Amino acid sequence: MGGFVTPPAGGDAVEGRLVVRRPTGFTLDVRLTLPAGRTVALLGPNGAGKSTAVRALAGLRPLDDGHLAFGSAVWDDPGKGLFLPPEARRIGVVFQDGVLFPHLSAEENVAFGLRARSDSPEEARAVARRWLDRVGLGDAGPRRPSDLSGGEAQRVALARALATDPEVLLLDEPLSALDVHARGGVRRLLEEHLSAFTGPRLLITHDPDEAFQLAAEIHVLEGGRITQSGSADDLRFRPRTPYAAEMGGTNLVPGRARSGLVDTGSLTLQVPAASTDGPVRLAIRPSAVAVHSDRPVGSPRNTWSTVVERVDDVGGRVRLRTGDPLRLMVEVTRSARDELALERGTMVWLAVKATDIGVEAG
Amino acid sequence: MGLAAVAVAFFALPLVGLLARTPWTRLPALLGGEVLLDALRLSLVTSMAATGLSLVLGLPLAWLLARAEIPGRRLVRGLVTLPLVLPPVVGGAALLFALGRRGLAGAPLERLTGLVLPFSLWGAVLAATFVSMPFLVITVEGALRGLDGRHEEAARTLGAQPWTVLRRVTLPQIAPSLVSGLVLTWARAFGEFGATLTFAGNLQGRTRTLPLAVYVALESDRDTAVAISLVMVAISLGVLVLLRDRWWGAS
Repeated sequence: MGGFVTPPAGGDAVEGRLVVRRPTGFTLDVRLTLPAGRTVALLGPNGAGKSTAVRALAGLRPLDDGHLAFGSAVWDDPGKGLFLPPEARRIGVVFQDGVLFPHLSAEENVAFGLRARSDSPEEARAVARRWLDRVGLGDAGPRRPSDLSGGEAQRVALARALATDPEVLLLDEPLSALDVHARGGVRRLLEEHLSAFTGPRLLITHDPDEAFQLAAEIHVLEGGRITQSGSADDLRFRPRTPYAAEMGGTNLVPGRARSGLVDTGSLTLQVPAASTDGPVRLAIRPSAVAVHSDRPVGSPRNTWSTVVERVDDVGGRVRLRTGDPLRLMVEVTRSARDELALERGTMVWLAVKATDIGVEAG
Repeated sequence: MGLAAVAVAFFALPLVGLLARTPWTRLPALLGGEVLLDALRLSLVTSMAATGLSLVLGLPLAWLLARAEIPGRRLVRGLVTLPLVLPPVVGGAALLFALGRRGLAGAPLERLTGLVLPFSLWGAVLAATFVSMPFLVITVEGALRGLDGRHEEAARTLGAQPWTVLRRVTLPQIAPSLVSGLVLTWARAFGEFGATLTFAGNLQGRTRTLPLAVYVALESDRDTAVAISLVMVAISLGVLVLLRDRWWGAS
């Protein structure tokens, strides 16, 4: 005994070059590596080819060229005439707006994949109930998708994708169809389940905040090509295209809201009055933060003084990282930088109007 | 308002006329008559067989028209729609030229298998299928086109084989349309007259279905004609009741 060695859990990576040509003339051509135990995001605008990439990875659209493999298993290789259909790939896919089966209950939806993989009906139902519990919907089993809210439907979709114990997880815009209130809860649930999932996982999104929060590695997809790959900070401070510069933006600040004020821990900010109370995330665009050398007078009441920690020239604009009490990324023009003589260590006053702060239930 | 009332009267009057002409005292005896029972049995058998045949052949055809990239799809769809607008007598005649004993396909069929289709029960079934299957194909094709294909894709990513996807995702989703398509198909086959008369003839106990029996009885025994008509009205009403949720649900 003792000679049995357990292989590292989920050690295989998805690796390939995806080439898909659409009759419209659009071509997707990307190299992707999805390592085990890591969340990779494909971030891009609508029409960049994100969904096409998911469909190719899932086997719903065969490659026209290139190759795709998971570990030593070839999934698609048109050159060699190899193609593994989706039902043989052991993937879990969470689609945009859920795509639950409308004629089945929540529990039957989650049990579907287990039944398809020939578990007994009783066993499938038991596993389905456990998964509904895990996504916080233990008593939603008998309900039809039409009776579920958007957030609930997306939780069921996540349970359905994970219940079959897939080896690879693909999330196609899992939060885009949700309203602001549902989004926070589902995002936290995703965070939790993504970190528990040992295999490769890919997040498709057009929302940079989603990518920054959920993924360790981000590929920017534009016009069917990957234009930049790296961490969130790479994107923020060294964007290579105008789109990436645009995306690298928004600051996200967790806090607690109470009657129009949000306590971020060290600084209390005024936010638009209609916001709900409780835990929130604030979205502040870097260009919405005004930089002054002296204490500003007049309307903006959200003002504080801080120090510039970092200055990066980013395609015609300048990005600053500022220090405590509220660490932010701030964007100014080059002329503003020169006027204010901004460099590392400069003391500045920052101001943000309440109406420029987005509030999302945290 | 006035014209609409005329239209309502136009639909109601024949029904009233039929009821007014009904020989109520003789009715039980007429309903048990051999002519009527033979025709009723034949009508049920042919209409059910035509519906079954339409399902077996029409469902794959609807699938093909809705999903497959085949050349000449519009042509095929036109061909399928043709029996809807073609006078049934002409359809029956065409069937006779094709499948009759001297027909294009009928002659080799008889030589090879000994099967003679015209003027047989099978002929009546084929005639009814020819005029009724389009209802099934068109209803089901429309439903398949209206489906969100992403559900089928989701099922495949969950490990379902294509057959399982069809059985557990596609068919349940088009079930309401499939049912109404089947009912329409059956109703059309049940009322079929022209193509049956031309292709299958009018032989009591073999091919004389209810509509043919009404036609014959009108010449000889009006009371029987009325009784048979009443039976068909009752059955047609039954079909309407079956479909009421679909068509009357909105009102």
